[in-house]
Amino acid sequence: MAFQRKENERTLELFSLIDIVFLLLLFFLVSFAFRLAGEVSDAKVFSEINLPVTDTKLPVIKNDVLENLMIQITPDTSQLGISRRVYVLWPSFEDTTKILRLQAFYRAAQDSTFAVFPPDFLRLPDDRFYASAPCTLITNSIGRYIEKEKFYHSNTHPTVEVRAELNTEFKLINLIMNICSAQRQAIPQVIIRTTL
Amino acid sequence: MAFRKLHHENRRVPLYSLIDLVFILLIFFIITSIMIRTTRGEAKLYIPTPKNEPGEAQILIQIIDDKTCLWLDHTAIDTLRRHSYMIPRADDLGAKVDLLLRKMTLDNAALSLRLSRLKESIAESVKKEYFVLIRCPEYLPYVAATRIIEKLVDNPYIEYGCVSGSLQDIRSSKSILIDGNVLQIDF
Repeated sequence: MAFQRKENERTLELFSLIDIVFLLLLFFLVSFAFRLAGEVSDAKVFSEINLPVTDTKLPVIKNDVLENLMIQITPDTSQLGISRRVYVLWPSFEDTTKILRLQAFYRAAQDSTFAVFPPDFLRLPDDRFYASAPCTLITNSIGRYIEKEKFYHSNTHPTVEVRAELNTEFKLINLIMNICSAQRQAIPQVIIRTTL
Repeated sequence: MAFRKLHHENRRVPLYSLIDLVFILLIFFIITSIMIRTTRGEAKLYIPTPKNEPGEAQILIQIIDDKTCLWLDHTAIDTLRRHSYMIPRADDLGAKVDLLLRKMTLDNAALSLRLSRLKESIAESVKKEYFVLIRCPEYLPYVAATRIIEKLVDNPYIEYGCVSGSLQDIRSSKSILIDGNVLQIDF
């Protein structure tokens, strides 16, 4: 039996080719983006807080690369009554690598570098308040941060940033400022994050 | 000259592939537009860390609640002197604070106006430096302090500081004395 070759069926299907190429491109783009953004999107959900609204004359943050140690204070409802949860977000100390705020937040959540104030923290006596887990965390973190900054960037003053929910009690901001004040030679000012 | 007829049947666009492709592009753009969300911009508000030593301020703003504050500047001395008949004893701190509260309490609108006037007066007069001390009660939201600070940041002749403290601290201070042109509050 004689078979006849069909030469004309060997033409390239352009649309199918583009189709497959786009499918592959889409797959790799989306999987890559999800790998990067997966942690960030989780962090974004949990770190979305209402900041004080200010006008544009303040220095605006262009890309949210974390340059300083950041203390982030969010509402916490895990206990009876509304309290405050404190996260410590560490920047990268090496000049070659940069870390985004959301990535740092994700790491803080993963590494458990956070602590929760008891719901009645406003009424706590000073000794119990300063001995609480969040105060200890903030104090130790700022101390360690100054040491690391001295080691890595000896010429610059370290700065502490505070990113706190709008309704955060001034007591907590004052606590951070007082801890920095004890290191005034090292930390002459703190930065409060606001939104535009 | 003879023209050959084109074979139109070979040049048809494959419809299924086209729809497929269009849908893929559509999904791609939908996903990317969801992922690239516009985030609200953030800004930095610098606050100097407080000094652990007695200080001198030209203006003291004691925040009372989220709507009112007590503005103490050099005019507080005139107020205390002019109305000294309302203070039965020199060591009656409660009477002094009540008098200052009655005469020098500002609401938010009046405070904004006063700060604008302060900046205007600095711009017009000799470039004298001012130190504005803001005292905020611990239980109030910190936004009560930041909304005042943000009005001061753009003036190079105004320095500012922020500490915790309530009106009750002034009432229970050791003394409120007038020493020449200075109002001394000894906490």
